[in-house]
Amino acid sequence: MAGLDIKATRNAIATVLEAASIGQDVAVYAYSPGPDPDIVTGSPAILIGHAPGTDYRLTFGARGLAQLKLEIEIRCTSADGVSAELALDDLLNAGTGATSSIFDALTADPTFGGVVGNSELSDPTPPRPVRPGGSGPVAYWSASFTLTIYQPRS
Amino acid sequence: MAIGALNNATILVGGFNITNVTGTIRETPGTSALYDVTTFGSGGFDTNIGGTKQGMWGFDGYSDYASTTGVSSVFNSTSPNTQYGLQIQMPSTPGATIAAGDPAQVGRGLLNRFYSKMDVNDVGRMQMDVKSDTGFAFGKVAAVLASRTTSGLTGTAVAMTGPTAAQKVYAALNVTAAAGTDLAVKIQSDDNSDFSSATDRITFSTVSATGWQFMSLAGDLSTETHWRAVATIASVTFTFAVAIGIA
Repeated sequence: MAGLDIKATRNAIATVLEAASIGQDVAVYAYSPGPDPDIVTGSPAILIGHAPGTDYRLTFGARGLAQLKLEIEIRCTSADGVSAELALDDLLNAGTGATSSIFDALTADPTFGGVVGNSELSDPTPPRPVRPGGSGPVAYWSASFTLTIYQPRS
Repeated sequence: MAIGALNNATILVGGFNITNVTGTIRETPGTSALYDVTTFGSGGFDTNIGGTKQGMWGFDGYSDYASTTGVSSVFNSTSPNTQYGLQIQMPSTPGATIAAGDPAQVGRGLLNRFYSKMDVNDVGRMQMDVKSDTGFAFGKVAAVLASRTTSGLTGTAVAMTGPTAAQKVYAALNVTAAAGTDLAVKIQSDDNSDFSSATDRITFSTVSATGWQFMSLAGDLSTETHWRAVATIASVTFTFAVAIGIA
């Protein structure tokens, strides 16, 4: 098995989300969509980025287990706000009847096609309005998951 | 061993290599049973005498239920009270590759606890404790864990003063993979690093399967200054490691 390949991991997660028929016209970004991360390109948008907590050595040995923490952020924009919240709720659904579930998409195969050893999706944050710069009108609504990747280093 | 983060080690329990599933090594080499012998003549104080010494190794890590190879399958409800020879090898320089002469610990004990913790949406975790039932010795690596062929092994001379009359030399052989016949390992010592007059000190039983052996030798060998492992293999390959300690 290959070691920890962050680029391949992010691209594999993006591929899974794009292929999951999330129901909405979701734009998935394995990497930042542009020079200003506060600018949302497309809506809804899912952005994959790093989160605190990466640990390269969970166990001893050359094949020791590495842990990569990623943030899966979902952004929705709308003129009235309610539509953004409704779109977010739709993406945050799970299980039977949820045709746009990010949780279901990311937990169906925790190896993302064998790219990583295992993963767990946790710590969803409640949707919140985001005002870039801290003031002014709401630019978008945001919610996120923490995705923990487990992968031997070799 | 230099002070620094311990991020490399080889941990062998019986015929199993648990290195890659272990994230924490817990050692308690120095517990002893104390017996209360307080009398009216103790002047108002408790009086205790030392009893038997006991050591314990603990390993914390992650569950692996792969059949026959995963740590959580190998060690299970039938394992408690099973006797294992074990060794822990560590690099003398943090982060370096382990080599002959690096620090090691050898011992034998009974597995007295294997514990799994499986929270939903969390990676499975395991803990295991092995309590010593004989020597718990600090020593050195005689042979790193590696696959060896019919070329055998003439180990690197490891500088280590032999035991005094009150001590023993302990040696552990852990075989983690066997694909052949007749692995014969012995421990030699000498009073020089060239082994010009090598003497066999410990001879392990010849084996053709995975497993472990733990042997000791008493006697004053304090004039011996160097030790090594020597092995012959009749056919194919064996993966094994040897460590020697004095206590």
